[in-house]
Amino acid sequence: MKKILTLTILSLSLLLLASCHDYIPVRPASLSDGAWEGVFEAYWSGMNENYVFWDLDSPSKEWDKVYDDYIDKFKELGAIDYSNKTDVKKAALLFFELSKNLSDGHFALSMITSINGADSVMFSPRTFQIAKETDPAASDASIFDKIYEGKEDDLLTDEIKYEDAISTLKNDFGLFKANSPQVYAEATAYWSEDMSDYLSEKLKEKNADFVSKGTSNKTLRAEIPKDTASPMISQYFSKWMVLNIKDNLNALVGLTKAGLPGVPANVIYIALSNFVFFQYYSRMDFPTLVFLEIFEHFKHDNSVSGMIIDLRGNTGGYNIDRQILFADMVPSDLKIAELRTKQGARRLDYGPWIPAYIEREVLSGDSSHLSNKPIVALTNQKSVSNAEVTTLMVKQFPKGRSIGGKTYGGEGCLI
Amino acid sequence: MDVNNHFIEVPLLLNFTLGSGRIRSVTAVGGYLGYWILSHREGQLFDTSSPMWLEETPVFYAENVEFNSIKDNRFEAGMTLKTGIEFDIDAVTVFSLIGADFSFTDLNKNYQKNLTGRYDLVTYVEAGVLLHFGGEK
Repeated sequence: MKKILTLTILSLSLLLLASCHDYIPVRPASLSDGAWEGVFEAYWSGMNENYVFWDLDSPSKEWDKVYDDYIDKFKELGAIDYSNKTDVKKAALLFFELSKNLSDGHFALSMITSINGADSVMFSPRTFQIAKETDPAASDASIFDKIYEGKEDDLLTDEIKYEDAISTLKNDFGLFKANSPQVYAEATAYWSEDMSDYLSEKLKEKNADFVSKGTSNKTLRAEIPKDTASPMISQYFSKWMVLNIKDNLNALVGLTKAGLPGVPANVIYIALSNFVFFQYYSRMDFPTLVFLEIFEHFKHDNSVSGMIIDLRGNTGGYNIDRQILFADMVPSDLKIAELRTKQGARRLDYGPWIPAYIEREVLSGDSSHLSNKPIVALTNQKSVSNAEVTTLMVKQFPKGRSIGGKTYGGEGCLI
Repeated sequence: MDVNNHFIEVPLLLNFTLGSGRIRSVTAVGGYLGYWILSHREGQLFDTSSPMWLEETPVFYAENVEFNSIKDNRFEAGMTLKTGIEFDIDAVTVFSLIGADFSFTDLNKNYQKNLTGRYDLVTYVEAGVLLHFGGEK
């Protein structure tokens, strides 16, 4: 009996000793040891665990090959000496070479190039790829030199350089030309004619209060002067409204005039520099609320024949902005996409697909009639991230279409 | 996130019995081969595109995970160790064992450098009754 007991206890002890271990991630910074090799190790391992490779960037262990190909090159550079400008540039070139083909437009690498951190170089693989598409004959080294010198703009044609939203609004509609120094100074909203009748009672009162105090009162952070914009804008739209919030959000909404070549009358046109409405909507920013109410009024006008959402140069932003801007356009919840995120340290660890909806939300009355009318998203090479998801949204409408060039490609999560 | 993995396993064990009285010590040692037939996960995430996000209402999910031939190694092999006691009551033998399966194989294929391994370790309790047929025990 004693032997039985002893053997049983021994066996149980062996089983209890069995244990599993939890993975403890290594902080990339802990690998950095004052040598270029350590910086490379930190960068490579940080990317290895956090960058979203999908099946695009390392389908055949390309990121492993990066390690094998570059570790010795960084070892050769030895200790970091910012006074040795040649080695600093060599290190930057190596980082450029090993990152230049990454596909996520969200990704950019910033490298300090002086000991006090005053100098740095910012490198986006997408910039390299666009430069290469623009001039296939350009050598990678010459592209790197321009980036290193901070002369990225020299790599791009004017067409691409000015594809950002501000340039689009300036060039297409003459906005911001006359008052460009002020355009970023404070939040403003202005319109083609007094459309205060379209506003809710609450905003009407607030607007009347602002008008009575005069538009020069800076504390109001809002001014809605009449007929202040360039005549160009009035050539296209019968009614319009412009919103500028410092250097953060620029938007235009209008109703097209009759007689425009290729565009029917009474089409809503809305141009958005990005999706940061949530930021201002949630703090009840007056110009933003006015802009949104005017847009809402247009959407509920049954005579409207369609909508153009101009996402050229739109740099993305909050997902919730789609809800704020378009929730009254769907007769019922509309599934627009499925989203998934990276979960875990391994390269192919992904979470579940989560459906993304525009959830029907109407403050009063019925949904807008727009959902069954033509809706078009305009895109260009600088439409990125949430602008791309919004383009997916447009395509889910029965008559939704996307027109324009290839977009920037911001498909990974922001880390 | 809760993940449940399901396997079919075929064990091959050597069973050692110590003692010849009514109560005996039993230890089983051997190996097993397995096949990962199902992976199920459930949990909650926040859908940042939903207005409910503002109220921090989560999106619940429960799904069978689609296997990925690049990353998932569905064949498994390992060692089994069990120990416990058995005792006779009239014509039957009652046993109670505690056991563990130690997997030698990673649930990941070797698809990247610095791969964090996932090895199964299963502990369990077994209890049962042996019925004796065909003559005296």
